Amino acid sequence: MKRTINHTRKKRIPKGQIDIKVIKKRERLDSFRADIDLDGLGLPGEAQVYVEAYRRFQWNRYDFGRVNSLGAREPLDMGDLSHSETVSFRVLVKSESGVILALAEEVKPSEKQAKTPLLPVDFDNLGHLIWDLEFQRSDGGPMLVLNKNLPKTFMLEQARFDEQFILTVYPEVLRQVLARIIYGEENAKRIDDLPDGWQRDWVRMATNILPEKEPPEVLDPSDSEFRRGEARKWLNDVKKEFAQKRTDEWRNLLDFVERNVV
Amino acid sequence: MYVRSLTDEGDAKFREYLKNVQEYPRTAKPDLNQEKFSQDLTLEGIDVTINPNKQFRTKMDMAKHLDESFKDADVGFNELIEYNGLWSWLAYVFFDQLCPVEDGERPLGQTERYICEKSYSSYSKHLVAFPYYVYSIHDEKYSKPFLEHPVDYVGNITEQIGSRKYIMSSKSLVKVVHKLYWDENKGIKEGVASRKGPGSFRRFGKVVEQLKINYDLHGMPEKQILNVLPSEFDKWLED
Repeated sequence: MKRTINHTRKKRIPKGQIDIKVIKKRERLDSFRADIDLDGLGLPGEAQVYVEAYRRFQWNRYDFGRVNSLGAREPLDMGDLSHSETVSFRVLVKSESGVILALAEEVKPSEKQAKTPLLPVDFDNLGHLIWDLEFQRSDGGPMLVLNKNLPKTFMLEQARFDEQFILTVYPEVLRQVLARIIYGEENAKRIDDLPDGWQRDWVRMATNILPEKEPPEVLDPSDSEFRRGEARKWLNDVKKEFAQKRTDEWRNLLDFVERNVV
Repeated sequence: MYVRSLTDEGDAKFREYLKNVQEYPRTAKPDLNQEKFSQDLTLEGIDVTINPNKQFRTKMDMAKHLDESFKDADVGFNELIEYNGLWSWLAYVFFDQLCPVEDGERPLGQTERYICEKSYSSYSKHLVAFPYYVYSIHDEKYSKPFLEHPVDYVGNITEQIGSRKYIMSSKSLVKVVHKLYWDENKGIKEGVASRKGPGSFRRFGKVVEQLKINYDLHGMPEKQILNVLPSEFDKWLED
């Protein structure tokens, strides 16, 4: 069993301890209420607490006082974000010197409290590309982008059920996401240092797909201990094994080919 | 002229033009102001007028002209910033400045420079949307490292720093960029764009990505950020 070392000593605020409700007026986001419970996290009483609302390029920060005297210190109106359809929130506890002591990212307003899916789907104009993979979520996680010029329902059906799509797109998505975790410059240097969140979730999934092979220990290509060949092999093996396990889809695809291709 | 927003059909037509113009630089610009190619934004309450013949010396001039036009019409940043079709249409209107013919050639850049895409990394490459975004958020003074360039130029600073949303959405971090890399008399300091040099643009982007894991850089004033930056950046402060 591997040990996980949190070098940053940063604490994760469980999303269950945060309840944010957005208030709408005339179909626009007007303001929000936030109930935050930081009990049991062992945070210093004088640490500062902030809530941030964000969407694409816009970012508002609200002062929520200190751990021992929590509460909004200013009106919680959405300001520039009122034109957005949706917003996400982040709760941050920090010391006077700016060191982050605890964090909760990608907090959704309570009516949408569901866990962020491993691979959210979005639509965009991709020219003649059918799909693309973006890492533009606020937490840097992956998003599958489908071409908005193709019928939306059809594309969603393809993404969920079509054997050819599943066997063509998802193995490559898996490889690209894992490659990002290994080679991405902003990432942890070692597998044990991966923060909680999408990176850890994807590595966990890869380990479930290919339990007999450990992911690379060192993730920094500039580190002398980094084994490039080993990393490449692991990525390819996980990708292959992911497809290998899709036996039903493979059989259906063969059936389809036999029935339709002369 | 009232501003418009490219429709999906207009977007496709503009892409087709970009493809053709690369091969035949003198290809005539299609009329994308027709109803099927662009949408009249006055119907959405965005009754902004711009001067399509205005010539811009720098990105700063262009951003200022747009900012004044939007302000005159009482239209705010937040109403416009996500209107990708509008930014693509503006690139279409000013295309001859954004991609001028030089010695019979039209040195076309990546499509993202002219067609505004949703993802931030693409958005930051757009030759109209990004200058306006930078100018709107940061004061004229601090926008200079990004905008005191010809309108058709995508500098190293935009590629290495402008493409990072975390940095560009923070006033303090952009002030730090200005302090480190901008000289009021000479412009971008010499040597800061080096690929491998310590304290370069490239290093700044990477170092901020690392620091933000532990530090709330968005909540720090400029001085406090300078204190947590490694010493490799000190040399730019001495100049």
